[in-house]
Amino acid sequence: MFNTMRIFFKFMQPAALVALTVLATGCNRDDPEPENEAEEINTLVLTLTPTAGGAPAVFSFADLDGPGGAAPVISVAGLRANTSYNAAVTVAKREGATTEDKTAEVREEGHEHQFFYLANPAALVQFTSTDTDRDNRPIGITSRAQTGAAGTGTLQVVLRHNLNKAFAGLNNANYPQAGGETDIEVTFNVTVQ
Amino acid sequence: LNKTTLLLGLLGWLATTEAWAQPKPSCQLGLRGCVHASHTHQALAGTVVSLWAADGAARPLLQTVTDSLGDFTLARLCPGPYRLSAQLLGYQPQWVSLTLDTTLAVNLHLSEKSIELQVVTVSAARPVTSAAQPQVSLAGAELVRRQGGTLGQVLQHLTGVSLLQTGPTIAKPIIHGLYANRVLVLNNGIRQEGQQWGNEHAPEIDPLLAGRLTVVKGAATVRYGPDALGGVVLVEPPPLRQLPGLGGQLHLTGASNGRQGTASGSLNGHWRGLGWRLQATGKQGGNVRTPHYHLANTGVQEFNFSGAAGYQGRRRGAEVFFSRFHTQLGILANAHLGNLTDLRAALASPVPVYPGRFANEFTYELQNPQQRVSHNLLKIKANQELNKLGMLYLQYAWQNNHRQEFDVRRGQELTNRPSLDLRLNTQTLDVWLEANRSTRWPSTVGISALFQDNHNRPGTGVRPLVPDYRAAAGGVFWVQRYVRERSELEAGLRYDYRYQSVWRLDQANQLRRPHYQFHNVSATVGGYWAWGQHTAVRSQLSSAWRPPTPNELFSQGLHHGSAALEFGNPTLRSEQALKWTNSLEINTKKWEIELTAYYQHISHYIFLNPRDSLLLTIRGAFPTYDYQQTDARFAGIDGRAKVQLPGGLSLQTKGSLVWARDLRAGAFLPWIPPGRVENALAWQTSPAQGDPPKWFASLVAVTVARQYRWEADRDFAPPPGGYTVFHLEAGGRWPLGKAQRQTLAVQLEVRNLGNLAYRDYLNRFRFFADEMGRNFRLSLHYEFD
Repeated sequence: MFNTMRIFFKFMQPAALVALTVLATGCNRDDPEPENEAEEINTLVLTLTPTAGGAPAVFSFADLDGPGGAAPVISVAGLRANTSYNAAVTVAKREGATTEDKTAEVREEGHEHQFFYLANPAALVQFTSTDTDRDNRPIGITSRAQTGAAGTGTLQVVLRHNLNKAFAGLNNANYPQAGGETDIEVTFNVTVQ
Repeated sequence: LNKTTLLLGLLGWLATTEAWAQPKPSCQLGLRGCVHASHTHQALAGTVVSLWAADGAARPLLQTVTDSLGDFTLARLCPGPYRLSAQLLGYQPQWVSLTLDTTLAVNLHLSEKSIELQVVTVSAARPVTSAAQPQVSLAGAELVRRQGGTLGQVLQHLTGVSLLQTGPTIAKPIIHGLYANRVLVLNNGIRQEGQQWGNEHAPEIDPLLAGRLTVVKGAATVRYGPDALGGVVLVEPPPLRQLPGLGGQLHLTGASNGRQGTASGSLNGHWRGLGWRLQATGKQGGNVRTPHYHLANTGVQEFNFSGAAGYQGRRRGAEVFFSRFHTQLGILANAHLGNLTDLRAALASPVPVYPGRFANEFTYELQNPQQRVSHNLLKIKANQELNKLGMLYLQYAWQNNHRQEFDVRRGQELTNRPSLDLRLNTQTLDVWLEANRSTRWPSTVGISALFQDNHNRPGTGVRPLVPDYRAAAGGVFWVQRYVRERSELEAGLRYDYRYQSVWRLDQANQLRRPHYQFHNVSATVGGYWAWGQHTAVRSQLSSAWRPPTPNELFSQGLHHGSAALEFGNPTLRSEQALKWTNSLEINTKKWEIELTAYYQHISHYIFLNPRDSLLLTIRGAFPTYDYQQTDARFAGIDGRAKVQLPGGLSLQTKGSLVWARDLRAGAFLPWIPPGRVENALAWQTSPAQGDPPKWFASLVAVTVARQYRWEADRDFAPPPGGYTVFHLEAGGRWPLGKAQRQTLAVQLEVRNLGNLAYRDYLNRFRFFADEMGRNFRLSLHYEFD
């Protein structure tokens, strides 16, 4: 056995040389560059301005380091009962001091996107979209919001893409049936007083 | 170093140092061949091979004895009919009738069971597989009948193999409950270094280039290196032609479901001592249909080719092989999820709801999400007999795997840009010596080296799933066998080392440069015993290991196929396994029985462990999984029994059962195959000796039980119910032309005969859609030699 091994390794020497030559010819590696996660949205701001005038109520959700890591920062505001608001939503990618607005991108591709607003209980605040895409269907970047009687609950804001916008009777409640995929889904605590 | 020059030089040198006798007419014909044991595939040295006149003379015309490789040669023969016999103590003598009109090659299998002779071309040296490990293979006419699907689908015909599917286009083999990085695939003797970063990444191999597919059902780290915990899949092309002439094959398959067409052809020949083969396959399919609806975006396009050339002499040989695999495939449209709401909506919907740009109809068109994957393999192999020592083999391979995944994204520019663009380059070098081959104490010693470079092409606009890394690995092994006529003992030892250097950007985009080192010693001991005329027993105890993969170490982020966040664990250790396999084979004229039982313990088994709470992101709250380690136990049995009935009928039953357990948590593991039984009633015309039957037909019933061993908190939905699905196949085979040197085979197959709507637990898209409905497949196979 020892003899076998000795002869084997004798034959191995040129082979090892070939191996080293071949294996060592790999090119030098550059350090990887951070990817510009161009489509990554990490901030949503919903502003409700009373149609009769007055201070706007601002709801925001920000998760600057993406999934995992630090928890998202959520801020909410109070709404007045039985009041009509002009609602506008903006989405952006914030990185350090720079903010890259993504709302225009969503509007450009409005025929593939739609915002939905779901209050729980439903009567707390109701949203009606006031903008339209090229097919004359709602997008929901701007809406009219109407609050009901005083109470507390939640408001969920959902952005979907690739949904079937021709789906019959599409509304804020039945949107999952229209297919598509969720880009954003955030929930705010709401107090109407 | 110019590899091409080196190779051509090597082949040229071989071509000039050996002389080739061109066959001439009249009494200049030759007959070559090889004798193997049919159970163990061992070459049988010392077999007496005799050539007799066809009229039954009392004495042979010529006689010779096989050498240490089991090879024999008879020269200067006149054309005409002969009988050939092979005799060896302990084996049944074998007889075959043949007509010589050209130099011929025969492959003889000696066994304890009934006479079984096959006339095929001489086989080159096959990879040494252990006699102690149970293995099953598909080859010849049986393999031809199964070809046309993906590699996984072809392998599923073997006892004990299940499939982990991701829709109709992606399938990974499961051996004894283990899959993906725990099953090693050897493509033409080379470790397939593809990108197995997820369950939706299938092996990048064209099954139509194979002449034989073998599944070794045991831990086989010692001979093949890390990862071979569950088993090994060997994909072997047919041996190169050793005799003058031209041969070829044409294989056409058309399937009604998905309107899928496959065309594959190959040519082989012999030129100035060099055997060569060229092969190519093209495939196109569109959306497949379940009984009630189409599966949107499930088309596939594939184009593969390979070429090989080589010389194999008695004392030395060399071979070069190149193959390219390229596929483009769609991912089921509604299986791409944005968040948990999407998953719940998909689960609640009995019929898939496709996004706006997809329609519930047939199309060949592919849209995002889709994958484009290519794999190139260049292999150079040489062997040289060393006096009194054995055969030395040297094998170098370069593999390049390029995987691009295109996602559903905002804007045309981003849609056309891959969101994953990874190149994996691997070079491997194996050198081994098969010593003392003609003695009772054959041994194999060898070393293997691997160098790997993984590179993310920048510009995807997405944080990479797997970081850039380089790895260097080496192993040294020794396997010693003690071979007797009716039994064999085997023991082996291996040491492996792997070094891995990583370039990784963390969550704050800071560059991290972790380094990893993994060591392992593996060992194996086992034996093979033949009892009486018909029975053989194999038993093996072997250890195996697997270092954690980069996705297990570093994943971070959303998995769109399962609406879950997955986080890697940079502190993972290697998995270590100990597997005990036992198998029994009984072969009589009437019965064929094989039964395998195994028990495997895996320490530091890596799996995705769910966190208790959901993680809040801007896309909503997600279930979150962390890669963690536990100890796992796998035990199971699989078996096959076939009985010959009168009138050419036969009845076969195959089945498998796996029990898997997470020992630390006392819980069941996900994606474990449920109990499965396959019953087949087959009929065939009685075959001429050694030939496949002329006509055959079979009805197959596959019954899969519900998986009851599952955990509600480790799965998104309860497993689907059990089902029984029927398949029917029938076909014929005709020899054509002068001296019947051509064969035409036609086969019609109906899969899912009853058009049953069902879901399979092992299909990752069971949450979203049913399995494929009824499918008619017509295939045509033409061969000439």
